[in-house]
Amino acid sequence: MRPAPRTAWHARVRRLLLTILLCLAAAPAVAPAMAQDRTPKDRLQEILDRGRMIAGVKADYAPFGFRNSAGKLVGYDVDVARAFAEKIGVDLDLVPVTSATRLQMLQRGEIDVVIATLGDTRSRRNLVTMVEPQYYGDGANVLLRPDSGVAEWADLRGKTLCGVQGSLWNRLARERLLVNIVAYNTTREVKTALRDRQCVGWIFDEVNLLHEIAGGGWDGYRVALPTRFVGPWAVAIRKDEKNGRLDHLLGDTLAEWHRNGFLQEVEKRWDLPPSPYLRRARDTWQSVDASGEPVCRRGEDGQWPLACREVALVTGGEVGGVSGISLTLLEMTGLDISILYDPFDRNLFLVGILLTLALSVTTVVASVILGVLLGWLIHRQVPILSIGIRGVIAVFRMTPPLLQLYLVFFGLGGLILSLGLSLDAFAVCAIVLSLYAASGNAVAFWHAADVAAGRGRRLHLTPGDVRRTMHLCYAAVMGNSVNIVKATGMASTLALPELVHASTSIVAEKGNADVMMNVLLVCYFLLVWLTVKLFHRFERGAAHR
Amino acid sequence: MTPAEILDALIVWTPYLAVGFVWNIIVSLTAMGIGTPVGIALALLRNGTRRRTSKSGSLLTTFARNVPTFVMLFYLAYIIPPEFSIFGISVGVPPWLKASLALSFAVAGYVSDNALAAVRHMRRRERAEALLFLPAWTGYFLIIVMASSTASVIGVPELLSRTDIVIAAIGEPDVALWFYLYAMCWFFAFSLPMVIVTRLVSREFHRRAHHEPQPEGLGDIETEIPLTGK
Repeated sequence: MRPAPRTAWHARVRRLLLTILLCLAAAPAVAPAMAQDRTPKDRLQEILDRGRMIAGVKADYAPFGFRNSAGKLVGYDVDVARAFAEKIGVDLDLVPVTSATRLQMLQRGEIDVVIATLGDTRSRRNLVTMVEPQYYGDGANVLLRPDSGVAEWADLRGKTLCGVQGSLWNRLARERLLVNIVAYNTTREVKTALRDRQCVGWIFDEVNLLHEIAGGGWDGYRVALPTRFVGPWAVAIRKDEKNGRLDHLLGDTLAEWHRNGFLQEVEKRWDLPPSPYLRRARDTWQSVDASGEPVCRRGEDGQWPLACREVALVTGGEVGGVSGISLTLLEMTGLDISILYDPFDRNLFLVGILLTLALSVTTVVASVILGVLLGWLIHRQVPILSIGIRGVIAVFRMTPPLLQLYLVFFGLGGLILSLGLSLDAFAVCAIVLSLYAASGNAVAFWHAADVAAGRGRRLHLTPGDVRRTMHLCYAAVMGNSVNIVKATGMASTLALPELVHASTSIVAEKGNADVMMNVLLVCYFLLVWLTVKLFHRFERGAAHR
Repeated sequence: MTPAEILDALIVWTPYLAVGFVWNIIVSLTAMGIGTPVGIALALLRNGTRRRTSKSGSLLTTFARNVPTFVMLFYLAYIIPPEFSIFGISVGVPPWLKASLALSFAVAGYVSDNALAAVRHMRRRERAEALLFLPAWTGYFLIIVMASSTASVIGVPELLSRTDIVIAAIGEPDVALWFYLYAMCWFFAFSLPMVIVTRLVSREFHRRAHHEPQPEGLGDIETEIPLTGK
């Protein structure tokens, strides 16, 4: 090996590193200059100079943007556009647009704003600036048959729904709710199929379903689930107007309208059913902090706080910390770890973990205590009582625990409900699962006590006998405890928002089954590992005493 | 509803529910069919002389043991697409097969542990002891039958989901209790004779193996019946 090339190589690397460092140092100085070049003129100034605002609206989408009998463009979107023009203090020009043309016309500068039932999505944000907050939102719901037996979205799993071919909801329902979809060409066919019991319900735009119900002829049918897959609609301006004066003026105006209920008035004006999106937005934007200031106010960077935005649409560069990193990861790889950036999902998940832990600890402790007690009673051969206990234990161990949960919660619960009382899901799960595991523990303790005491003798409460019994039944009790911890997921069937329920809810909304299912698996794996660890520590502690 | 009406409803719906119970058995047998060979393979791995293979056998067994089948059920339901194509042939994975696969994880873990003991007995030519694997296996089959009712949450038309459909169709609030109790009777009636026979066989095998049945021993059905990983 000659030394010369080695030195040359070193020098080359050093030069390269120096160049990179210089570039990095120069970047902040260059970047603002480039940004300024791209915004030659402020659009708001242009509108004021011109004396009119040009808005693109739909002409064929009643009641949002359509032509009335006089041929004039009217609708919810038109009213919003007119109110914006009034706010700026200029006249309004309306230009009809279609879904295919609206963004191109905006990019070419032919119109100032698009207010045309435009769904706010991540991919569209690469083309235009979506003004925040959004001005309307629509989602999916289900028109349920009277005999569907469906009380929440999770009940639809494995059932069949009717849908209209080409509807966005069909794919979402299939992938995120594990629903079977039979898709028909027209809504008329769907309605016939629904009445013919081809499906338990019809999944479609909520606005449309509520309109259908209001039209009559659907006795017993209902649209009762909370709205799913809510997609906000946004006012769009040119991409280079982001954080400009027009963006802030429109955004501030929309925030004010969410607070004072103006948008809900417009909604009522057009006979739209109350949109859950607007209701939720009103709650968000009206909320105030301890000092009476609105929670949703612009920060120093001109952005609304994360809690007031549609987090799934925010880009990683806009926020710092873990949220920013996980959002950037989502943009670059499609890996959607929503529990890291979405406060709502994170909260749901944390509550799930806490509930699962609480349920695990409660059932393990209760089942061990109860198991020892029952096992001891059987061992003592108390007349009648011990036979009775053995019978009950046999029933508990030879029927499925899920069925036991249903029997108590829905069976007994139905009777109790008719008395005006209701059962608590957590309490039912804790009691039923404890009794189930206690049955196993009782048998283990009973056998252990028989062996420890010796043939035909009774167990004495001496330290020696107790320790021998504990040692003999230790493995079985640990096995039962591990199994009951693993079984806590069944509580999700009673709509208890524990870990499994939380995870499937997040998947339903975000479609990130790949991430959430693995996270769920790891969580349970750790939980079981922890349980075994604690039992081993307890055993070692007992052996040392 | 009057008791007579409820009894009538139970009788009318019995054939429909019976088909559901057949599904429970199909799902369970398939799970045993997949899980048993996998578990035996794991046990042979663990019993291997080379450290790396025996270590990987134990690791895989720990995974199979620690993962709740109820969680696995959702995992497979979401991750395996309902249809995919291999070499141009489209393969459909129906929900019941996903349920069987989820349950087979627990089976593999359990069989791995018990088969390991059996393999070691066989090596020492203790045939009677090795045979204790059979009653233990039967006992676990019963546990899997109980667990198969969780397949209802992903839409397998087994007994529990059919019971729910019937309750919804009748639409009276007070029938739920009776139909759930009736469904329980099916499971109980299936398990009880099997438990008794298995216990007798197990006692006989223990006697031949010349030792007392241990309270937490492998063959004793009473201590094996406790929960599976749901």
